[in-house]
Amino acid sequence: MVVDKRELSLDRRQSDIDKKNELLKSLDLIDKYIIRSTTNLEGKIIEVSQAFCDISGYTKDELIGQPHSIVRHPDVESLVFQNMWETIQSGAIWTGELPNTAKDGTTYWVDINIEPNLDKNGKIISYTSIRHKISNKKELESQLEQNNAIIQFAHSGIGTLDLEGNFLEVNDAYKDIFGYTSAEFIGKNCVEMSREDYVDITKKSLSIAREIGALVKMKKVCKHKDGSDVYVEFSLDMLPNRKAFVMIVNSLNDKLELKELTKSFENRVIKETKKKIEQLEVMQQERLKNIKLNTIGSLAAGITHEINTPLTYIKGNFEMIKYDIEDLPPSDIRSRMIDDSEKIVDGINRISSIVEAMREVSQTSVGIKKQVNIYNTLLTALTLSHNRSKLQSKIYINSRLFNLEIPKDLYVFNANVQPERIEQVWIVILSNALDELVKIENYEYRELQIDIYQMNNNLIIKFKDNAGGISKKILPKIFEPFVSMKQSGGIGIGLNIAYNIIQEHDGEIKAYNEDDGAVFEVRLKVI
Amino acid sequence: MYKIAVVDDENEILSMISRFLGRSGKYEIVTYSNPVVAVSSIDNSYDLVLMDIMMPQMNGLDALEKIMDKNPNQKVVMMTAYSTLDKVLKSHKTGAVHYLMKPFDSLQALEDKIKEVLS
Repeated sequence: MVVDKRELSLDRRQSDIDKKNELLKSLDLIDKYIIRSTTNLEGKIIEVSQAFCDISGYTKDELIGQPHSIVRHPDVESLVFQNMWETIQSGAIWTGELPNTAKDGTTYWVDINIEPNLDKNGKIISYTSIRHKISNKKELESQLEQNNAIIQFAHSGIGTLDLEGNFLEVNDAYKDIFGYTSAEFIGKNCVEMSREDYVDITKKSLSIAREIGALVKMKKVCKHKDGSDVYVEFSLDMLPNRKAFVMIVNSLNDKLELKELTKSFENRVIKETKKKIEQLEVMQQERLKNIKLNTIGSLAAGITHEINTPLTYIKGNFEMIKYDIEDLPPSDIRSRMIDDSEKIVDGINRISSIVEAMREVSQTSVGIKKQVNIYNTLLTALTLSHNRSKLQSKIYINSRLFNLEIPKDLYVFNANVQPERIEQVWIVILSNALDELVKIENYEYRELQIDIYQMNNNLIIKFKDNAGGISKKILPKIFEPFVSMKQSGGIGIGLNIAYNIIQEHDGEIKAYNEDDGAVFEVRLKVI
Repeated sequence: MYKIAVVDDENEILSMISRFLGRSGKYEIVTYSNPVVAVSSIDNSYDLVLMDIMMPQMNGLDALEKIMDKNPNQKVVMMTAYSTLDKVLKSHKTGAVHYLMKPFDSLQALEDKIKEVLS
């Protein structure tokens, strides 16, 4: 049997070629995907793979002959390299994770294995390093670190819970809100932390979150470790692995406090403003009243002068007519003329007394206290009000029906007062009483009694009407500003001003009901 | 015979006073309706001056002051239709011998007061 050797050798050669090709192919793959470099004993690159070039950005030509430190990252301490050299020079394999710098300056992380290459005699002739790119891992780690920091620093409480609501982990803010330490949280169930009346709601929240995956911005009341209530707003979200929840909690206590503070501050501002406005209004009214009184004063002065001037020559000329009449021989005409002239003189005198009273009130020597007969001030006020009062009510002063002819010094009750101000008080009280009295239909039944008398060191001046009295609602605050008994008109400041004037005189003014009417009683000190 | 000047912006009052006082024949009455003219015209020949206070051309109190400057012994009686304490005090301080309020109680009372002042 003849064997064709040639065929045999042909087969063999073919198989060798195949093997070689396979080897070359795998070498090519190694070159393409394995980051590999070889250096001489001094660390100069003598060989690099294509993968090394790809990741570092250099060409083979640029790398061969260069020290391996060409890809060295500036952040890596020299101690690391010292350790590396010591290891590989001793013949051992060095492994580590280091950043490298690419040609364009970017950083890439690699997992490194450096192995010494030995010759037949076991002598180190070169070093080969194999690297794996680990940049993604590093980035993730740094990202994770950042995320953890964000979670820790967040002002909201962030915690993870298992699906039953047991705490797995919490951040600092979470601990602050509830007052527990990390250790105290772990294993605790979030239901336990709710206030009793919120336990059911919390349980329900958990089951809903398990079902739909999230609950957003719920509000509930929890218990702080010290037992106090914590108002919180929380969100519960299932994590992507569907094995845990993340709970985000914000305390509403600060917000509530702030809200309350803002509210109480607002209220205070409103209250103060209201008070200020009221005070201003009172002052304004008083000022207006003063301006009014001053205007009335100067008006009265003008009127007084203007009336008195013609009155002077009416009176004077009439006096001369009277003398002429008296010089006539006796006759009916003469005596009739004398009768009539007496009536004219009466009228003129009456005008004079009204004008005189007006003059007295209009005088603006306000502020100077002097000894005056209070009875006289009452008569002045009554004279001034006479035009109105004579149509509205009978007025008795110390039991005498008031008329313009009552002598001013019929009684003498002296006190040290500002007469114009005191007259103002009488006018206010009078006009208040008259306003009430006109409500009685029949003039005959209307009655105002004024009594002035002394009791120990006090002068007592009492104004008593029979108009039914002051309502119980108004009585306690009748001297406060803006309290008006009148249905319409009147700003209700008059009695307040009267009150203030009496206060300024160290006197007393009070109002009460007696029999079927109201009484205003003023007490003034006699010095 | 006494010589009396009456100063008042109201002619009715001037004529009334001069008629009443003139009846007796004891007085020579000279009237001035403008106080500015009165102040420059009144010399020391007058026994008495009756001076109103509120007048448009010149306040009677100022006129009084000017008259007293010229003749410190001049007797002046002030009269006013609108009286205040200030006016009374100022009149007396400036040298007026009397102060009368208008309307007068009566013209007779006015004459009595004049007699009293002149005596």
